[in-house]
Amino acid sequence: MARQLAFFFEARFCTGCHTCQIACDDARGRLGEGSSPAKASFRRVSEFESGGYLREGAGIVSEVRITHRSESCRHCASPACLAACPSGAITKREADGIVLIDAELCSGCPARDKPACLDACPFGAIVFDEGRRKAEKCDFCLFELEAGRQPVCIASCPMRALHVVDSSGATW
Amino acid sequence: MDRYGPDALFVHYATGNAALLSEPNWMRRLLGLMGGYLGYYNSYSTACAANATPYVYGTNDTGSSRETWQDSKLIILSGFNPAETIHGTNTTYYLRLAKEAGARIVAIDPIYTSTASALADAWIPIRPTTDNALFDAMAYLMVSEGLQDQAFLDRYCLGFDEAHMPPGLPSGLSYKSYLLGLSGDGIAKSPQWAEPITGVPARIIADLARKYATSKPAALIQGYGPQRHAYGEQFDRGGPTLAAMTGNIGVLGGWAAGSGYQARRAYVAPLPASNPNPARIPVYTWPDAITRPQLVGPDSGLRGAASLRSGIKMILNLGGNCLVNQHTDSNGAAAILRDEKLVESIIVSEQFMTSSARFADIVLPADAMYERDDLVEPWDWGDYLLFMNKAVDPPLECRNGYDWIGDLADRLGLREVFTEGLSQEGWLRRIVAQTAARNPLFPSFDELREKAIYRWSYDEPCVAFKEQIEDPDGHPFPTPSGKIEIFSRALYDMGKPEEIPAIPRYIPAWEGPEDKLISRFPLQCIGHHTKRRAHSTFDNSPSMEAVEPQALWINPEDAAARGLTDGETVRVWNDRGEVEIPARVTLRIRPGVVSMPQGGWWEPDESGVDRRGCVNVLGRYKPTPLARGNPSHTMLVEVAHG
Repeated sequence: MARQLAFFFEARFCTGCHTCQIACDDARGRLGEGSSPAKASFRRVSEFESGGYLREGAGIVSEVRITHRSESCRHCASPACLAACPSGAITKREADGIVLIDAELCSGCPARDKPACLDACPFGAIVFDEGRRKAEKCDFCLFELEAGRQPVCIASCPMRALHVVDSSGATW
Repeated sequence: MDRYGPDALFVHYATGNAALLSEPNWMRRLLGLMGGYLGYYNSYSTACAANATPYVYGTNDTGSSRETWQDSKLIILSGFNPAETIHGTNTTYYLRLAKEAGARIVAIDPIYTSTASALADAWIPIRPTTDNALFDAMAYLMVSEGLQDQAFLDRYCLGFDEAHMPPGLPSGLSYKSYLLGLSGDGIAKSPQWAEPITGVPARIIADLARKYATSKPAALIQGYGPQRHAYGEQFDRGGPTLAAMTGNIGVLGGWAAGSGYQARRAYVAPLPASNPNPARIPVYTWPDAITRPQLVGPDSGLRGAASLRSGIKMILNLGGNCLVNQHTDSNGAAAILRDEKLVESIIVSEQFMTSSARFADIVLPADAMYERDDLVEPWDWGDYLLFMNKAVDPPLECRNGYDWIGDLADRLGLREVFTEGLSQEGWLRRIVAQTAARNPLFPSFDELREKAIYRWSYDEPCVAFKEQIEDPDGHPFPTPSGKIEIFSRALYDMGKPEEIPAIPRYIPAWEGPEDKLISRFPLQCIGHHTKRRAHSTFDNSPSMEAVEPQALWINPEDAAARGLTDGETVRVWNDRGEVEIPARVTLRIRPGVVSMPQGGWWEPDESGVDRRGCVNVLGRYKPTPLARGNPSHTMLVEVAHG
C-alpha cells in the first residue's frame, strides 16, 4: 500500500473551541465569511448534545453528554469525489495520499447546479465558490508540509487533540 | 485641574491594551506629573477574590504552577473554566495532562462548560450564588464523619473550632460551631440543608465531600465567576477553608484555593509613574464618585483620603469598555454619562465605535497592538515575557499613545519631564535593562526583540505555601496571627456579621434563588465568559460570530414552559432593562438559569431595548459589602417570545 497521511482527532479532549477552524480560515483567506457558502470553512467543528437531567429530591443530577467533531476532507483511500469528477481535476498523490483539486482543471460542472464532487463526497468536505465556479477543499496545508510544518489546524489546537497520522505508524 | 483639582480626573479601568506601554499607563504618568488624578483599586474581574483571600492567607499569591495538577488525584473545578476564560495560555492542556496522569475531575458550575465537557468525569449543576452553601455542607459532612485533617487544622489554622480561637471572644464563633448550628441559628449545615438551596442532591454533596477529604492530594481550583455575586467574598474564604480541612495546602498536587494568583512570578520592570494624589476608590464605584462625591468616604471604600474634594468631571477611557458595557446596570450608567452637568468631558481612545465610545466628547483613533513595539506579560499563568514586534504602521490618522500623549505633555509644558528624552524604543530598552538587572539570565534588548519571547526556567514546580507548611515556625503565614485565618479578627471587628461574617458562610443573595423577587422574575441570569471574545473585545468580529453567535442560553425545560424554540428571538427583562436576542436552547445550562454571554456590545433601539445582548443591561449597580466589587452574576429575569 502506498503511503497515506490522515487526520487523527481525539474527540475526548476537544473543548469545541473552534481554533482549528479559525486557523484554517485564516490560512486560506476565508476569515470573516463563515456564514457565506462561497467562503465556507474547509474545516468545521460541530457540537452534539444528548441526555438530560434526573430529579433527585430538591436537586437535579446531570446525565448530559456533549461531544464535538472537527472535520475536513479525509483524503480518502478511494475518493468518491475523484471518481465523480468529469474533468480529471481531482488527483490522489502517490507519495502521501493527499487528495487535491486542480483549480485550473476544475470546470465547475456548468451543466449542473453544483459540481459533481460536492454530491459525491459523503462528508460534505468540498465547498463551492459560485462566483469563480470552482470546487475547493482542504489540501492538507501542502504549503506547510512542504516547509516541514504541520497543517495549521493541528499546529493551532490548544488541547493537542488533532494530529497527523501516517500509514507508516508515525503520529505527529 | 485648576477648577476642580485632581479628584476630578479619572483614567478609567481599561484592559483592551494590557501591554506595558499602553495608553492608560502613559496617561497616568502624565497626569501624575501635572498634579495627580483620582486613583482606583480593585478590578472588574476579581474584586471579591482579591479582597477576601488575604483575610485567610495574608496574600493573593495562592496559586501553584499548573504542572502540579499532574500529581493531583482529584481536581475540583469550582466555577473554573480555563477553556473559555483564559487563565494563562493553554491552562486547559495542563488539565488534560492531569487527567491522563489519572486525576478524577469534577466540575461545579451552572453551565456544562467547555472545560467540563471535555475533561470532567462529573458535572454538578449548581444554582448561581449558592456555592458557599455547598462548601458549608461539604465541611459539615467532613466534621460529622470525622474526615477533616484535624492535625493540619490544629497546627496551621485559626478559628476552625472553639479550641483554636483568638483570645477574648465569646464562645460559639468558630466555623465548626456555625456548621453544627451552635452559633445561635440552630441550623445544622448538612447536605440535606444545602440540597434545596443549591439544587444539588444531598447524596452528591456528601459523595463529593468524602472524595475530597480522602483523595489526597486534591486540588479545589476556584474560578472568578462565582465570586462576582452579591456576597462573592464568602466564596474565596470558603474554598481555602475546605482546602485547610482536607490538608491540601502547601503540598504537591494539592491547591490552596482562593484567588490563586501565581505564587511564583518573575520581576518585570514597570513604566515609572506616580500619583501625588493618594485618594483611590474601588473601581466599580465610579458612578458614586460622579453622582454623590460628598458621600464617598472610607465607609464606601475610599482609601488614601477622608473625602473627595470634587466629583469626577473628566474621564479618560483609553482602550476599555467599562463605561457602559462592562459595568452592571448599563442603562443607569448611560443616564449618568449623558448628564453633562456631572461629567463634563469624556475622552475615549479606540479602534472601534464601542458602546463606551458612543459616550465620548472626543474619540481618538488608537493604534493596534501590531502597530507598535511593546512588551506584554501573560495573564495570569505562564513563565514568559513577550516582545511584540511592530508589523505594520498605524493606518490613516490612528496614533500611538506615547505619540499623542507626548504631544499633550508638550502643550502642558511637560514634554521633557514626561519623555525624559526617550523614544518609545528608549523606554523599552530601559525596561529591559531594569528587568535584566534583577534576572541574571535575561537576554539583551536586541536578543529579546529578535526572539520575541523569553521563558524563565525553573528546576521544579512551584507549590504555594510550601515553606509555611514545612517550616511553620520559620515561615508564618503573612496574616495577623501567622496562621491560616478561617476566623478573621479583623473582619469580626468590623461589626457587620450579617454581611461581613468573621468566618466564611453562605449568605442568601439578593436576587438569588431565595429572594422573593423570584416569583416575578423566575430565572437566575448570569453572563458567562465565552471563548469567542475577550470580554467585549472581538464582539464585532464576523468570524467569531460565525462560529458562536451571541444568544441567550436557556435550558429546554425552561424554554418549553415558555413555548420558546431554539433560534427564535426572545425578550429578556427585569425592572432595570430589556434585551432582545436569539435563544440558544441547550442542555449545557441547568434548568432555572439562563446566561447571556458577557461582552455583547450594548445597542439600544429607540425604545431603549438592547438588540445585541449586553448582559449588564439586566445587572444591578450594588457594590459587594467588603470588596465593593461588582456582583455581576446576581440577576433575576423573565424570558418570553420577542
